[in-house]
Amino acid sequence: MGYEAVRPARGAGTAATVLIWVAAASEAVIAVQLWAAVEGDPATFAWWFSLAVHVTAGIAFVVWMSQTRLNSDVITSKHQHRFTNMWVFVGWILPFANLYIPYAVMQDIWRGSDRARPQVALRQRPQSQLITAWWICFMASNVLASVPGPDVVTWGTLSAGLGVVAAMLCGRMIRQVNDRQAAEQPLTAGA
Amino acid sequence: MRWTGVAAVVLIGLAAAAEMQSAAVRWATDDVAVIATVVQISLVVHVAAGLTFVVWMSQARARSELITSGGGHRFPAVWVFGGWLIPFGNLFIPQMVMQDIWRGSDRSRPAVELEKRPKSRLVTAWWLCFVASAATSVLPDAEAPLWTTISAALGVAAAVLAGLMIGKVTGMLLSEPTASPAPAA
Repeated sequence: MGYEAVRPARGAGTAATVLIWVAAASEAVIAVQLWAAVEGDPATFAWWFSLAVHVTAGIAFVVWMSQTRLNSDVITSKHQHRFTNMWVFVGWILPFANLYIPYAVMQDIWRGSDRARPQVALRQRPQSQLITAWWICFMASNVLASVPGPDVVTWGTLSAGLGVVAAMLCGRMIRQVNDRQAAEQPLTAGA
Repeated sequence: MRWTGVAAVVLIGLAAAAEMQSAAVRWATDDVAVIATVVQISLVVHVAAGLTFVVWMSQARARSELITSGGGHRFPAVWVFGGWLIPFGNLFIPQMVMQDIWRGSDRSRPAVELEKRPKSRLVTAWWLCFVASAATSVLPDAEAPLWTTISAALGVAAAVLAGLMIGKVTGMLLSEPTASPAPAA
């Protein structure tokens, strides 16, 4: 099941990045339509389009995550991860789990992709602030998008703004993880 | 819609059985490969049950809007699907959508606005059991036999309540409108 050598996940990474941008853009379009719409006139097509793009982007991102997870297992022993490979997928769909587990899995992929510290145990390696920032923006965007009631225009706009920031951070995270995994030699001699 | 409901009930029952099996196998063995196989089967059945249930929900939502104007629903129809997927939101949105479907399926109060109709305690009980089952399956010690058993027991209770709920709502939606003496609203 595992990889024997690192296979950089460039294709899946690019697909996920593009789709995540389209998903963020669709949130912004809905926010604009909410401002423009007459009261109680939901922009139905935009909602359904946004749902479809979010699902597609989510699948592409999970595919990228599972590929980079297998790559990180080549670089660092997989037994050091806090969650087994199954949770790359399950962590996203189980209520409560998806508040935290995808973040923890992503941090461990990041740390497991670190070639500069072969003697340091995975859980002792530094975590990525970029990943933390991405997760905070993503979760805040979800919280605001979930608020029901008459203030949907305000919350929806804030949520879309945070969604765009999260997409930006996510694109950068995808590139950095791919770069770390593609590096043939340790990036730094010391550390 | 009746057959989607039946399929959802059957698959939800199988998913609950798979949870019980996952719990039982943890008491019986420490073999990681055996446990992983049982958990993967459970995962596949859960996804199938979830998809079928959501299709039933969207059909029920569409039909309830024929009985009661859709204007009173707290979430647009797209959230029948999106509500299950969005982190944080999926702790409460599906329950709110389901309550509104329940209230919208009520033919006995055409003159009462949807928001003012009583909510279903059956829906509330189902959701509490479902969420508690999910919560107990992600505790730090969730892989222990005791917690998997507690989570599975709550899952079985949630499955029974979901079955009752699906039967009740489907019955309300498919019943013939009674010749009401009241003037058309």
